Amino acid sequence: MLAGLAMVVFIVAMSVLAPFLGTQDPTFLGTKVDSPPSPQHPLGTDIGARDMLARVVWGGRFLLVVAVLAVLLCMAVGVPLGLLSAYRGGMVDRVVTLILDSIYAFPSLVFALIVVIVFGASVFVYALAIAVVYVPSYFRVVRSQTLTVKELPYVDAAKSVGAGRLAIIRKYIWPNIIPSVVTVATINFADAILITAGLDFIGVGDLTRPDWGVDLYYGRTTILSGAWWVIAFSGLMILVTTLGFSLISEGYAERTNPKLR
Amino acid sequence: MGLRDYVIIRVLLTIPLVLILLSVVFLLIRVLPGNPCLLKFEHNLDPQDLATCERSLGLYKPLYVQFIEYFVGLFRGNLGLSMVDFQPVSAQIVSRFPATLELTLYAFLIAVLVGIVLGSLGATKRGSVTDGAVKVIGILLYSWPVFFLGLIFQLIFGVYLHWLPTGGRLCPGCQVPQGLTIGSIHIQTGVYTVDSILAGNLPALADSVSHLILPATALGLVISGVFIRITRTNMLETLRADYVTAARARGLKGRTVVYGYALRNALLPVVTVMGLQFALLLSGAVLTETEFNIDGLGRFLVDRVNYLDYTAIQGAVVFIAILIATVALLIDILYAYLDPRVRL
Amino acid sequence: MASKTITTGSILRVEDLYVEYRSDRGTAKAVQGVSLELKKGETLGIVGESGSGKSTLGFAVMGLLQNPPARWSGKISFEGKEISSIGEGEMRRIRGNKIAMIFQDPMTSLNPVMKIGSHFVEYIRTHEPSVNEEEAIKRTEAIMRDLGISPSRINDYPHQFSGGMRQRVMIGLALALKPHLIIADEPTTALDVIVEAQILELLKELKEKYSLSLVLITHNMGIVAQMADRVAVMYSGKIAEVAPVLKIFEEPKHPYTQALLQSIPTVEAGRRVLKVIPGSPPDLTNPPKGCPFHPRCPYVFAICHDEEPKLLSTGEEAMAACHLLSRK
Repeated sequence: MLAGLAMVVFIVAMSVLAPFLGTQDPTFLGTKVDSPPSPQHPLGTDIGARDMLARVVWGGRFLLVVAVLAVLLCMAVGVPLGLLSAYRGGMVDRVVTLILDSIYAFPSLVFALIVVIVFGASVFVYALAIAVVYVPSYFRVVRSQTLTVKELPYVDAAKSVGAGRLAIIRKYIWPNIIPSVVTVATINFADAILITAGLDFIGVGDLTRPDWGVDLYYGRTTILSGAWWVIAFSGLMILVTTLGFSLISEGYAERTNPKLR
Repeated sequence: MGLRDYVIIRVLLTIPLVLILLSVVFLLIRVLPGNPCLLKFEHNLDPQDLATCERSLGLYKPLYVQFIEYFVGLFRGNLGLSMVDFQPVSAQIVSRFPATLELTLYAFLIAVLVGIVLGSLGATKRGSVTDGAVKVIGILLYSWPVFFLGLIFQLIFGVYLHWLPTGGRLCPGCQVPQGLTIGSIHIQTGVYTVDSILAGNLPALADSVSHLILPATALGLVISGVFIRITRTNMLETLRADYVTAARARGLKGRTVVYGYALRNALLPVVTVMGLQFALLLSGAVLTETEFNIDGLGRFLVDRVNYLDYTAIQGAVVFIAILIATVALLIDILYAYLDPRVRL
Repeated sequence: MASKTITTGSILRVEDLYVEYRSDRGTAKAVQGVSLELKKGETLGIVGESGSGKSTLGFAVMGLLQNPPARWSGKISFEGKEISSIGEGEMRRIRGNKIAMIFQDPMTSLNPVMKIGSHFVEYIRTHEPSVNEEEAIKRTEAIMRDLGISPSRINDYPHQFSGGMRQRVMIGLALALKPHLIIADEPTTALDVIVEAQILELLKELKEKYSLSLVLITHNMGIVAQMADRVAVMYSGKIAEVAPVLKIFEEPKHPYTQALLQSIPTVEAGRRVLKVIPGSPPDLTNPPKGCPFHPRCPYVFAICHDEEPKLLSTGEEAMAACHLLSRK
């Protein structure tokens, strides 16, 4: 888990501090197209003769912003929805669950692809698309935890001494759902990055933006001539980011559930 | 209840699910801001073209009429005409589906095999170096962007080592395997590996397999990550279960206990997860097909999306939705077959 | 209740058994220098609280201790032959075949995805490979009849049976291959009182019928009174007292045994305050110095803190480990 945190912090720091790190302009179209790593361009250049090092440093910003936004949006909708639905129960609960279950099974990338094409490739649209597909995940997890805790004897005990619904939620249910929500959130982050980068890779996003996924898009044809550096570093960065979040997720889960060791 | 009753009930339950999904698709496409025709022809706004387009899509009709026509069309298998080439969308999808089926099936097989083998290996050697390696490999695999792995494979095995082709399903200029003809019945699935076996065409089989290895393995490995982790986690639990100790106490062979008792029970949650993984598989297929230039449903979707061909997009999504519902159904049935407790 | 068939030969002998478990919190000394003997046809009750080491003792005899995290030493002999150092292959032939175990929780001791009949058939054919499937099924049906379960249920799954019936199945499995020794680890703890009585009755019946030797592990003195010929009381991984059952109840010599007997609520006692043993069970990773029971013993005196009491004879076939005995 610590390794994961370290990775994520590194990537976030690099992305946030990018403007201050004094790299070359990642969008500057130079003359040395597809050149291998050299002292002038430590990570080589890509098909547009842009400095790879700069692109690597700058390439995560969009991805991270989208991910953060997506996760926030998603939690804001999914968690309350799960709570309310579990509390309401009855027909409302069953209908909502059925609808969300249908969305849950749908491939997120496909959905995001369509949404982005139709509504444009801005940060909000990406975030929204990912958020919509992930709401069911939070919903399910919050709902099942709420249902379980709701039935526990100590909640009944609390009710019998007059605890109101809000208090019960705050004191008993909330602490129990936090671990699951955190776990889903970290996976959500990792997936958001993968989906956004994936869509960029297909060529759906804004291709002028310095972005690791876009690098891979451009690199697709170039590697056939053996230019490994146009994809290696950008791809590695995506991997490190997602791996970081995944490690955090696993580490956190292991902490809260010792059986997994 | 027996397995049969469970299956029947499950099938009946799937229908509302599918209907909801299809309605959501409809709403999404129709309730777009603006008018699909307008968005498509945004550069050359010829009023004639616009009118023809609108008429063909029935956009001037009231929404509920469109809705009904949509469903009626679906039941007839009519998914409309492409806005790009005016060909029936259903035919285009059907002709491209076998490629996706082939890719995803092999990828899935690889994923399941790798997942179960490594997962159980880690669990049985708990705490050892092997187990540590299995844990790391699992997380690494499912975090790995599938398109990145594909690129790496292309680079290493295609460009550097020249062992395997980097794209397509067959060598350029090679003939598509013909399948089998018995009398007046012609069986050609479109799944090249199957067709070449049917036709007894070994060179074609070798060719299509060589084109499949890289994409299927890349996709399969990434999907296997979750299977590795879940198999391992579940097996750790089942290995400590009372029924495992009791089985050992009866003097059953170690292998019988590990596979027949521990693994068998550990796999049940893995099957549950398979449904979700299938969605991931499809997403991955979209990326992999684009990357490896495979003419399947995924690439079809990407192409049409770039052209804003709404009927084609809608048709593809409908198909995917039904596909997913079917797979979910099959997996539930599989699960009921494996776990007798569920049937009650 | 004396068995009719005790002979003089001993079927099981445990000598100086030590078992330790390594865990995150330290090394738990589960069993510390236990020596026991079981005679053929005898029922030995092993009584103790949870953590006393009684279950671990059972597992050790079966060779079921997992090698990490458990470490153990000592000698275990079965029917005159040493089984503590033989290989897994040989042990596997004895396990389930000559020595069988009945487990505590019938709800979790059967494979949920395997039919009841399959449990038996697989078991029989593992130890007797010459038996074909048909024959194995016939034998299974016969066993089920013996247990009072309808043979038509041979293809049912465990979750379709009640707890009591599942425990009968466990007993049936334990006896299927006519073992010589049965170790029953808290066989009725998970069952309600009525079912418990039935199971104990069944156990007694079958024991006489097949001339078995039985090790009955429990925390319930009542069961021991019904079933055992001799009783060993364990505390903190050591034996506190061993004696024939009547003697244990009439003249318990170890303070722990006395406390156990006193804490049983009885009808005759009327509305007396329930007597409990003060304090809490010992931490096995850090057991008390000297006599393990001394922090809770009402008769504790100086030497109890420092020196471990040895097992001293208190009569025929009876021993107790308490410093009170050396005090005249």
